[in-house]
Amino acid sequence: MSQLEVQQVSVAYAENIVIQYLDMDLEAGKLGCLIGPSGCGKSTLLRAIAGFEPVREGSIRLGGREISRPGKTLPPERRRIGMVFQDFALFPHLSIEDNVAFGLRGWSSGKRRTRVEELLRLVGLADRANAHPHQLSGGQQQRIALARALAPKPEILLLDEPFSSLDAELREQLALDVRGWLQKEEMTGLMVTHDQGEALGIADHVGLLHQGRLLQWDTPYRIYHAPSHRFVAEFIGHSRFLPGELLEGQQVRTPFGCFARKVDGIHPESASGITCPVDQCGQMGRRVEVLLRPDDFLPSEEGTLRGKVVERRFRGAEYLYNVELADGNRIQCLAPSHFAYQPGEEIALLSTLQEVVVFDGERAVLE
Amino acid sequence: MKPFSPWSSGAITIALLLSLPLLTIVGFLFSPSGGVWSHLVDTVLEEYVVNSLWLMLGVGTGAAVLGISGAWLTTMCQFPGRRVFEWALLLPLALPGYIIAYTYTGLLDVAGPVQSGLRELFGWGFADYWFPNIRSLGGAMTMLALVLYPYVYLLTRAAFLEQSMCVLEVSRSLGRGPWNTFFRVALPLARPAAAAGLALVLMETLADFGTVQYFGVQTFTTGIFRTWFGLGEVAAAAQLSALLLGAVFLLLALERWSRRKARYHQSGNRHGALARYPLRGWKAVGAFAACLTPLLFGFLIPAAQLGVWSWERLDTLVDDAFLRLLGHSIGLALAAALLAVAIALFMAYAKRLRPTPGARAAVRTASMGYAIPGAVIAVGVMIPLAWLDNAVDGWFRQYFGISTGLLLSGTLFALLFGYLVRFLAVAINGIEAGLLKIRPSQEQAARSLGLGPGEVLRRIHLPLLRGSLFTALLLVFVDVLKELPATLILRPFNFNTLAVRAYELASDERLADAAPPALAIVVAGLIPILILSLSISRSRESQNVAT
Repeated sequence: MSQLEVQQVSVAYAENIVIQYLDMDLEAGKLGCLIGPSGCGKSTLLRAIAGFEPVREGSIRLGGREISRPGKTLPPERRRIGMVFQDFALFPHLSIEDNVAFGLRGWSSGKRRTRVEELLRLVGLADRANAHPHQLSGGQQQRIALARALAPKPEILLLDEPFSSLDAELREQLALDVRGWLQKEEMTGLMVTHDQGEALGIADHVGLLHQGRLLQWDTPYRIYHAPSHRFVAEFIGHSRFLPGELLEGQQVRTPFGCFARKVDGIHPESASGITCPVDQCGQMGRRVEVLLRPDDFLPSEEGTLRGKVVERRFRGAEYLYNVELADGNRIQCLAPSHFAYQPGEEIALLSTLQEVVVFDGERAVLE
Repeated sequence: MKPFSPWSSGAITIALLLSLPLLTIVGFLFSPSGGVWSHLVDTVLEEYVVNSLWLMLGVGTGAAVLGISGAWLTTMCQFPGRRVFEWALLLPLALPGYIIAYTYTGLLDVAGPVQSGLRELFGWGFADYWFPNIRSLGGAMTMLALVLYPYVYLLTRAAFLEQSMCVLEVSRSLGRGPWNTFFRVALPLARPAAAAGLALVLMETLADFGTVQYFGVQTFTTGIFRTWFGLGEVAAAAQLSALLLGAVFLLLALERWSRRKARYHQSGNRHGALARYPLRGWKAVGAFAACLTPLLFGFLIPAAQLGVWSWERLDTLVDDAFLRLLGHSIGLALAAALLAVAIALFMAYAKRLRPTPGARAAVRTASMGYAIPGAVIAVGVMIPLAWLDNAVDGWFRQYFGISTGLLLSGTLFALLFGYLVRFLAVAINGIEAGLLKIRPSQEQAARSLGLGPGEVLRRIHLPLLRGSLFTALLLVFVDVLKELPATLILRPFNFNTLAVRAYELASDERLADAAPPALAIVVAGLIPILILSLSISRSRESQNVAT
């Protein structure tokens, strides 16, 4: 059952339309992540769900209850939401315990104490109950902010770039912890982030927003491997586009051979990568663009594709190479950093492509 | 958006009421005043203008030299006593101009300790030597420069701290010496801040009444008094006020403009570790002397003299009259401060809840009074209240045959209203700054946890604002305690405060008798200085943390 239903929602500040006709569903107990370039409207969407912004069109339903429609915005305090902010927003005049208990109004004092203890244990800060926010580190403060938001058992937990003010190492650990806590509390969550690694790593569903539109709302795997828009493909991970032609029988001709086309995520039966060498491909077809990821190629002695390294970037475990092919097209490839090729060196590449995603203009070719 | 909000419309109503004095003064620009005005123009106006200009030039120069050199030495150089001077250079701000003026008069006149000492030392007779007369234009310049330079010091110091890290080190790494760096880099960068401080000094100079009146220097403020009380010419006094107001608004515009410019002149936001120039030998002595001079003459000597006089009058310190005076002053200042804080809280909230153009304009209007000289505000308060009193009185006499007399003018109501007009800005600034520190996300977190707007106010804002509210209360309290000209004009008959009594006794040449009330004012005046010094030492701590 859908816990959160966003239907045809538009949000605007005065004349400036920030979100246009957006549809989105989130099942109970799942974690959704919204990503996109700054100014794409992802935070505005979150604030509309929280009730801080009215919707101009459409409706938002939470747990089956309508909470927003044009002209009617249920105030935030009556939505039963939990919210976690980038700057933690702890109340500096209250102790950690009182911060966590803040939303537990109308609970008996015994139940309240049990719940606060339970949450402090969950986030691993049971021994700091009497401390004040300024005595905690940034990561600890964010843990308390999460505990505070989870305490009243809200219908949904909304997280607005919750980890962006923490340093990278802490961020990764906390993101995984949050995922665990949400599962343990059987809580539905929606998080806005600008870190795609974080989104792909912990979310059940990832939504990519661009200029107020939700381009794709999908599993992390499909967001990466079956992007529906060219923008999604460009925004997530590294991507290169080469010219290609759409042939009969779900075949795509590229400068270095024919491939099976990925049709909306259904894997074609052929698993051998290149179906035939480029000179044996069929007749001319519709012109398209083929998406290539760096993990589609490997430098290898057995490779048939030859190119020259024009640039390399060290990334720790691996190098990211920029390779120019004989026809002047450039592709990227990843290789373990134990073997280092020098810029200018000729290398052979082995294609590990199974099937390819092709674009006609902005949209992926699906039919 | 709701078309009507009780918050904004309340704020706008208050702002309109508070701008009544100002509107009255400006309104009089367009009303004829007959022969008095042309008489003033023919006779004294030129003297007012010339004296005011000289005073501004002298005080401005003095304050700029003292303030900028003090700021540079304490932020950029290392010498013995630097850390003490850093806050001690603010102390002269605790002395109102009229108090330092009469203290130096007592010190320097013919019978005072300085001249007596000189005569004894050299065996001179009374007419054998020349000694500068403190009760002159030059004397007034010196007195005001000594107590007003801290404005320049404060703002310039902040500017030096902002720029310290990046630009100055570049200049030094490029081989410029300290003096060269000061004149070619630091000073040009700090110029907007110094100009803003200077504009404040000049505004205070124009607003000063006690000093110039005591020294017999005719300026706009004394002219307003004379025209009002001496000649009984309301319209002419109002028109003089309007002229003075024009000058003040020019300065205010300069200050605003400088502050805006100052933003662009900030080269970075890191305070960082600052390598101060270590001063040794005669250089250290010079820096020490340069900082000690304004502190010595602007605070230590006059405060010591007041202490000595008060000690001599120890018996009057505890007598009933003095206690009554103290009670009046404290009660009045407390009432004004509480009112100001309550109103300021209301207005600042209205603006935060709904920052409509109306609410913003209301807050700006209500904050304008701080720039207006007390004498001008007093005239602006008196005229409409007296008119209202007369109207009510006439109406009652016509229909009921009874006279209501003065209901508002000449009562504590008028006095409190005048104080509110003048000092509300102090409370508003403090509370707005406090509100800014409460992040919107904290409000939103509370809302998302189930609290309505009213509860958010009670459970989040008020506890977090407690410090700001208390500071605002203290600042208004002290300002009211020190205020002389508005109190002098607006007070009820025979109602005395510390400031009024000190001024009256000094005017009667009972200098030593004036010391206890004056000392009480100075002690109260130290409170805001203490708050400022604390914030300075706190900024220094955070500087140390950053290193």
